[in-house]
Amino acid sequence: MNHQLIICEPKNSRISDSIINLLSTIKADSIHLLVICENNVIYNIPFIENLTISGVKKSNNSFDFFDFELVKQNFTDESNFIYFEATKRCTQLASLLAEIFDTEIRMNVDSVSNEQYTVQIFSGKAKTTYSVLQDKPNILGIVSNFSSNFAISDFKEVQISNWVEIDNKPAQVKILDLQKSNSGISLKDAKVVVGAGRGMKAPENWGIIEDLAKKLNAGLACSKPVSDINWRPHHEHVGQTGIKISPKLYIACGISGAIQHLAGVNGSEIIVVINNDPEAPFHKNADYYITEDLFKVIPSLLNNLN
Amino acid sequence: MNILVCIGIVPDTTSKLQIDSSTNKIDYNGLTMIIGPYEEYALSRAVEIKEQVGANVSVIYVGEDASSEQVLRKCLAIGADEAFWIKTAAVSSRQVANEIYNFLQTKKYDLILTGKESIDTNSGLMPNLLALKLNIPYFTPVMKLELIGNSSVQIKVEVEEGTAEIEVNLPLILGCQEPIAEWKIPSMRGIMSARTKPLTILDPLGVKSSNSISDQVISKQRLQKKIEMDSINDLVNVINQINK
Ligand SMILES: Cc1cc2nc3c(=O)[nH]c(=O)nc-3n(C[C@H](O)[C@H](O)[C@H](O)COP(=O)(O)OP(=O)(O)OC[C@H]3O[C@@H](n4cnc5c(N)ncnc54)[C@H](O)[C@@H]3O)c2cc1C
Repeated sequence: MNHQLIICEPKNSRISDSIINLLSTIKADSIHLLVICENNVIYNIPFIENLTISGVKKSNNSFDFFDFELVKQNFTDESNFIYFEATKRCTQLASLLAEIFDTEIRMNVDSVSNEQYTVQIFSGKAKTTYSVLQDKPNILGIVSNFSSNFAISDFKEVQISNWVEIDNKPAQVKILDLQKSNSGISLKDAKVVVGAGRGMKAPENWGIIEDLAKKLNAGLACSKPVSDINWRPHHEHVGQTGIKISPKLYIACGISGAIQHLAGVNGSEIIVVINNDPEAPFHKNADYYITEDLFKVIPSLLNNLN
Repeated sequence: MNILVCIGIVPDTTSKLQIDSSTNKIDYNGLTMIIGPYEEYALSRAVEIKEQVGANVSVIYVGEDASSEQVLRKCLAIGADEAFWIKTAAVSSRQVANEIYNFLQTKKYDLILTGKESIDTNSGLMPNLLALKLNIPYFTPVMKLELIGNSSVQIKVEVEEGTAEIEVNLPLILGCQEPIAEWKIPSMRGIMSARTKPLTILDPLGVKSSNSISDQVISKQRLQKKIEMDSINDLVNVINQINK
């Protein structure tokens, strides 16, 4: 018998595309979907045979930790695969399970079969293929853009009736200050990202970048030097030492395309580069590039985009 | 105050990765190996704390890279007091966490720093797994770290909603990222004194075999299509097409 467990954390009562794609890819005798959520309802559960669902109540304090003993009592090692999304809570629960079942846990899994799976390494510059362990669960964190060749189009609304009690241990934390990030779109989830670098010349010039992002419903990114000199907040810094993004479209404005920057954006499906230097290394790593002054190109884009 | 910094050794960030055709794995021969950049931030912060308020800073590395000794000497030159090297092939985050946990059975640290992730596997699991074993809290990614007396720290950490500044008691584990510290360039004096600082090689708990089969280098071919300013509508169409 092939049992598989999937741990996920829906947003606004909807499971993510990568979890849906995972569900459409895997073949199993039974699949159990464990959702970490605050509401009792999930709107987009695919019609799949042998799928069961239960919930784990999400604590509203993100510093809480799951209770090791309760997790131990509630989970057995009958699953061949335990998949999880790379959110903090899912990763924490999966790590506990790796400890309990004394087995390997790996992140950035982008394909899987019953014999082997592949893991992205070096920010997607390379991959490693692993053989599936037969005697222990394989605990696999999937990439946020996990894709599938089989589209699922039929979804149902499900009321969660079965709840797993693995209470959260209140964290001993004194919160001094909580700064909510202002841009609503998280870089990791954004379908489109607009990035800008030192070519912007000064922080007060970012208005056109913000306008472009707004128009495209895009996340905002920047190069490392720009956040180092405090032109932009650090959480916008993408690259080798920043956030790794994998949007459908990345538009880079006034960024030279240093290898450390590319390491964070190479996962983008399409890259558009606006840079007035014909020798900029980014052009070689672009799908479309325009060798012009960004202060001309972006206003013109803003005028012409619907 | 005893601080332990867990470091990884990784190829320089400009490295061009290649596959060794005899093993089907990434060929590390000839690559320049460095302290993982996030771990270097962590180490730099530990050294800053040592300079500000006094602390004993140790580094630990689990692995068997050919340049291990040289990289660990660099950590000592940056300002660590002592280095430990558990010499065994590192095959997974859990194995590394298990080795460090075993090491910690005989040594006590108030603060354990790691990078937010290692830039080869990008997994970020090690601090999490080690914290579970030690039954102490962990926070990651941490961008600011201040010691408050001898028993707690104030940190700035990314959370779901944005960033939070919190105060927590020691002992704990922190996964570090910039701008937690300025990167330190070893001074001449640092380099000289590093030669005589202790670097202890330790036996592993056990040798683990890996279930990895092969590696593959991904090179994504980009279209490299040039667009002229007077045909900017081509670009507008591309953007609209993707963003519909
Ligand atoms: C260990 C290490 C880690 C690093 N990690 C990262 C990382 O994570 N992320 C990162 O981004 N960098 C990282 N870097 C830095 C990286 O090497 C580059 O220095 C950095 O990416 C350059 O940023 P930039 O492109 O904004 O600036 P620059 O390299 O100065 O490029 C600015 C570009 O703007 C263009 N430009 C200027 N004016 C205009 C105009 N009017 N119109 C159009 N174009 C214009 C110029 O032609 C130029 O190409 C790292 C470096 C090291 C050593």
